[in-house]
Amino acid sequence: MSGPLTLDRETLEAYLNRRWGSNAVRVVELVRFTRGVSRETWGFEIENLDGVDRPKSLILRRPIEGSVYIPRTLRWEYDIAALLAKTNVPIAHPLFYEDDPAYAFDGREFFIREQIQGSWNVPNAVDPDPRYDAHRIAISKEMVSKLAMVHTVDWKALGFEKLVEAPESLEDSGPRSIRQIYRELAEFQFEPQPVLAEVKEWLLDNAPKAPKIVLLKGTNGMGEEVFRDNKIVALSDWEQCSLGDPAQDFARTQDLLPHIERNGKVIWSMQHALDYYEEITGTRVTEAAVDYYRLIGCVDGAVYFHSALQSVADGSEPNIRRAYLATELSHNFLRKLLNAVYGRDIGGQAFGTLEAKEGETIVTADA
Amino acid sequence: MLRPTPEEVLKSISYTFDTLIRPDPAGAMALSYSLTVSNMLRQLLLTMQHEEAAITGDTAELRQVLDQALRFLNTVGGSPAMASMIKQALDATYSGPAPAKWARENWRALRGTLQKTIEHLQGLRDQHGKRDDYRAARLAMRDYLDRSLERERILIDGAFTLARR
Repeated sequence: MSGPLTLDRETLEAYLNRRWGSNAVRVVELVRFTRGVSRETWGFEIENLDGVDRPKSLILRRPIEGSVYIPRTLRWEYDIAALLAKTNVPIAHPLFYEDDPAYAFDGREFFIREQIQGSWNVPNAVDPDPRYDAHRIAISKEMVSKLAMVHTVDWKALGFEKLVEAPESLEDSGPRSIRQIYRELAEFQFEPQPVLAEVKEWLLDNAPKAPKIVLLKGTNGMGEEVFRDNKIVALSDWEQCSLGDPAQDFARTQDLLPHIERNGKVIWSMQHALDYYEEITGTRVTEAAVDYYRLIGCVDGAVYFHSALQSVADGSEPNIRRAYLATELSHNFLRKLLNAVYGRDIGGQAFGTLEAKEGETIVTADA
Repeated sequence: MLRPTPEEVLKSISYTFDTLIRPDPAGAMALSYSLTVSNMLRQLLLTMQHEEAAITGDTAELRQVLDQALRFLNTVGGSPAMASMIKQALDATYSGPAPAKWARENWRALRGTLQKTIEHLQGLRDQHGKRDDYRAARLAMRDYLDRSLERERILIDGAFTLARR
């Protein structure tokens, strides 16, 4: 893809007036958000000049130039949002999708959705000062309750299976994720990935049985949702939406499931969050399963960062942030995965598939 | 050690300056990208200082573990295509004219062969998983990957000292 990186107010206004009728709206402000590397996101305000009641704050999402960072299409993301709009899950409702080449500004498709007022940031949500303990626990419970809301969506009735592959059984939740990730990797892989090849076998051997199959949000928590007055008013960024073990969403919660210990007593932790979740949903999720899906998240991340590097390698959009992702973060994920296979990070529970014979100790690199 | 290459990092820095920083150098986006550029410049320096030695050491180990896997496959038989691929990778000799570039490409080819060998041997687990030479070949490959990541860490630690974005 090629073309200007910027979108200007006049072009957008002209487009909207072609779509909604001449002089329907005026675009009064247009800002490109700096966060996020998977999509190009623009926020803009409109004045409705024709008396039609439209949301005044809107978001335009389109693919970033170059290769797609998360190998799921913008259209898929829009369709997921359209299904979610039929539920009680708080999201920014999508308005329309534009794929007509005559209207897509520089050849890139886009969609427009409402913009929910609020912030991705929650003040003091990660501040370890004991003054904020109660606040942090309340925010954590808020996150858990919203995940519970997602997990209790009737995904079969809504037809999510048409957009995301469902596991074949409770045992298949982990393997399904692995199949999908490695299938996506095979579609674009351009550099050897021997660590990912090595850990795949271990991940398949150690997949836990899911308590139930639920709709999963994907990456969630700080930086992914819209907060207002310490409440989540919209769950955003559904690019990794899938079906599987609820533990998978707890494994992908950013910053909002803290471990808080005071005077030798743990007052909040992952286990507290899982207990709270069980109170709400009646579903028991284990910490061991969450640990497992953290590793799946590492594979996911390493594969996506490899994908992000394509546009650096082929020169289509050599954005430095993509180069960065493939450097430090990718290394950290691969390190964590291999550590798990060696049993270093998970209580020595597993040495992968090469179990010692009776009476024998296997000497490894970390011994 | 793998990607991005130093050339790719430099191209990314140039592109980022021209398209995302220079148009509005005091803007929020420029400041955010400046942090990433600063970190990646240190990573580039570390790569220029240490990568050649890292690739040399890594290549020597790669050759050993692939040779061990080849001996296993020749012993048990039944995998002529895989054995041939490993032999071909091990037999590659310098073909100039740029030694550093050739060394990198050779290392990359050996890593690609290693990935395929790992996948192939995983497929033989049910058949040969109890054999000592199977287990030894698998462990050698795994331990190589472990040490390779440690080598790569030299190019990471010390580079990322600022907020990333």
